[in-house]
Amino acid sequence: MRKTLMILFCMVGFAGQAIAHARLESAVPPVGATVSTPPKQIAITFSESVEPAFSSIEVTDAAGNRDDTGKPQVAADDRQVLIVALQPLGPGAYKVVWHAVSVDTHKTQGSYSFTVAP
Amino acid sequence: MPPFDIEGGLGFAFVRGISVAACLSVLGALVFRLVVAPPVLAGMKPSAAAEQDRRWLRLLWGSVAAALLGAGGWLGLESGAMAGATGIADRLAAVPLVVLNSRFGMVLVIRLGLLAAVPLAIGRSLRPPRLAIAAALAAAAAASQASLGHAASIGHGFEWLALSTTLHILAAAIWLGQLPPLWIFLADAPPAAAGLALRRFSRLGLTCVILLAATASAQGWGLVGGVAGFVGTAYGWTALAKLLLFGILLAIAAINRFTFMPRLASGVAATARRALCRSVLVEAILGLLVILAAGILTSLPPGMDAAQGLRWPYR
Ligand code: HEM
Repeated sequence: MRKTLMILFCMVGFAGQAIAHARLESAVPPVGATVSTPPKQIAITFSESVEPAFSSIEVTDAAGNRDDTGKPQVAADDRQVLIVALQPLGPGAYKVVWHAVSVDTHKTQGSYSFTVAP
Repeated sequence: MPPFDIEGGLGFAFVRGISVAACLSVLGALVFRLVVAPPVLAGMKPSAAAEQDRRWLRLLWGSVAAALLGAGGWLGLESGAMAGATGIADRLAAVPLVVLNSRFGMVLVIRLGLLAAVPLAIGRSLRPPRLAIAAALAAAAAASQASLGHAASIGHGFEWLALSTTLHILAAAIWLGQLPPLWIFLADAPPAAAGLALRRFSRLGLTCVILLAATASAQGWGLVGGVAGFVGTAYGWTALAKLLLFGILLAIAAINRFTFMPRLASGVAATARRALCRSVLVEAILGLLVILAAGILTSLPPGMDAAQGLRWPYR
């Protein structure tokens, strides 16, 4: 039995990717995207509903200045979507760092970038 | 072995498991006294029946106290973790924040209220309507656990998986939660009464076992993530451990029902009662282990998510 399991394991193999509870499923603007109009907000859709009071989305520009307005909220019709409003953005690269606490109390975090085209 | 990335560590999962087990024990004790025990007690000498009730009440109060402490302790620990608090003062300050701003906090406060209402509902008498109200309060407290698992965090509105988890937890309570009162009852019951109690318990237990098997399959299907999830993730391994324990519990239940129970009506009744008593105790301890394993399961990323990083041909 042990041997069979070991063999199964070798067959399975790990790809080494980080594993999460509330995973980022999609984002607007999309992960890694270049957009022509500056976004007014960041909206991240997670694989689980999240608690906005204990979650955060921080947006910084290349110089390290914060460009979000602070407290994120969930979308009125969907607790899986976390939204933070932005200050007016100029052209350039931006980094988004998110921390999420899902309604089942699990914590996850991640980051990605997007660019506003000149 | 896949990495056991337990949220908050094993201690957290343990506190969660213990607090759930105590809550299930409250419901199980009430169901035992309300459904299984009445005809058995009616057939006993009044003094013996009264003594049984005294011992049962001690078990109930002990379970209520443990469930209150467990829920309070879990709320305190988890609040600190959710708010990222470190010192004692910060952790304490996090509790009202979590209660007012999260589903977890709200559910735990409601649960504490429901559990605290159980003694009030029972008052000084064990009349069936009062026991029924207390059982309904305990059932709501136990069922609320389903809103804190993975099934309730995915999806948007009504979810069949969340319904399945609710039934799963209630079936676990009505089957395994009745083992401690059954054990206490068997320790000092005349063989005929012991036989009747076991027969009545078994009938209810069988329904719960069927429900547990069905809901476990649904959750296994919906959350574990197929073969890759079962063999390649900590979540799958924990589910398999639960399956193994479930199998052992079924074997013990079958031995109790088909070997010891008939012997209660034979010439070796006293020995059979003692053996049965030991067997029920072992079953209760293994039952606690399954509930602790369930606490670990809920603290792990679901296999279907974790398995996404695995190279495996079957999904
Ligand atoms: C005697 C048998 C069993 C008992 C007493 C039991 C008990 C429980 C309890 C109390 C929970 C809720 C845990 C919590 O929220 O803290 C739970 C959840 C669950 N159980 Fe079981 N269980 C049993 C058998 C099984 C089996 C055989 C499987 C599948 C192989 C299974 C799969 C699950 C799953 C997938 C969840 C949801 C966990 C999550 O939220 O991620 N259970 N069980």
